Amino acid sequence: MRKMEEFLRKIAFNIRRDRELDLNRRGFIASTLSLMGVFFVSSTPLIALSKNRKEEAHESEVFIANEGDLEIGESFSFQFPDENDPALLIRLSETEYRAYNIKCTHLMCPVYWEKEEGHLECPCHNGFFNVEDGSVIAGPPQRPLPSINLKRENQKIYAVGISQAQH
Amino acid sequence: MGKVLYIDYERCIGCKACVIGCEECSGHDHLSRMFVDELNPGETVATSPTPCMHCVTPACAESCPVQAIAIAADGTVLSASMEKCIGCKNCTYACPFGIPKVDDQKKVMYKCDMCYDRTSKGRPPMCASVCPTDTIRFVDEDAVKYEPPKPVQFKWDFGGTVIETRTVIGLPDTETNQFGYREGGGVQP
Repeated sequence: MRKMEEFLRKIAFNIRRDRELDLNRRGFIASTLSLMGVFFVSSTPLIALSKNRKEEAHESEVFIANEGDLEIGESFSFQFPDENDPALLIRLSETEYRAYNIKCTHLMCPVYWEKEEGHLECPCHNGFFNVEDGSVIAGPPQRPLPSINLKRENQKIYAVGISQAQH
Repeated sequence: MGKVLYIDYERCIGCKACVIGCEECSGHDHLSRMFVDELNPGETVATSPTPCMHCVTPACAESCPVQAIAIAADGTVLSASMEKCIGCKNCTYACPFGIPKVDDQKKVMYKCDMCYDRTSKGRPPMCASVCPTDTIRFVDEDAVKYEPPKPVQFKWDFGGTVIETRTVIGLPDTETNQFGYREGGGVQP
């Protein structure tokens, strides 16, 4: 207890004249930097944890629709990767399909397929997305729509993953 | 070990030479840091000279918000640095012995620094030099604390908080009453 009190006195009171300059500006900067270093080092377990975390990849293939079910220019809504994530499958041409998560990146209103204009539209604040890659054409959203990777096999369309497009 | 002040109250005659000597010390700016108190005026002529007790853990320095009061390498508690002191009087309230004074004109605190100019060069402080009865002496710390000529006190209990001081007080002789105050109101039959 007495040792503790002496230690606290030592660090709290800068009254020894021969050690007066130990707590100068340079000492303050050194202690600040070393504190930052301690924080950095103490965060490495967290980095390791985040590296070890399983990728949020959705390995499972989810069946969406048969190829013939959708007319060119039509859309079909489904849920991927789980029930709370609405998504839209759009057929652009004979062989081209696109699928996007339709939560608007602005305030998560559902985005719908505007067939005549040929883009995705969010009705809440007039946000427009390019159907080719999900990028923002106009409106308040800053980030593109997450696109869903598709796989076609035996005339069937599967959703195999979701990726944040880099634009 | 360094040298410390040793004060033997029994020898004091109350001449206040130490007060004047303190004023004359070169670093003291004609402000006396010495106290000579009359203990019981009318009953006895006993007086007690009190310089700074130079605590090992000085409450004045620890209470100072700007750390103006420093402890020198030999343990002397110095007077406040003129540049740092803000005249807040914290030290006057913190000191258990009531030593620090504040110059209200300059708004700085001043207290006994054991004439640091002199003692750091091995010369005795002014009060010890001028004392005609050797009440205040400048003696070796270990010798006076642990092999004292008479009972001394340098640890003071303030309600559980024990403060050790470098200044040593010689306790009055209450057994034989060889000098000074006697039991019985000071009236001698």
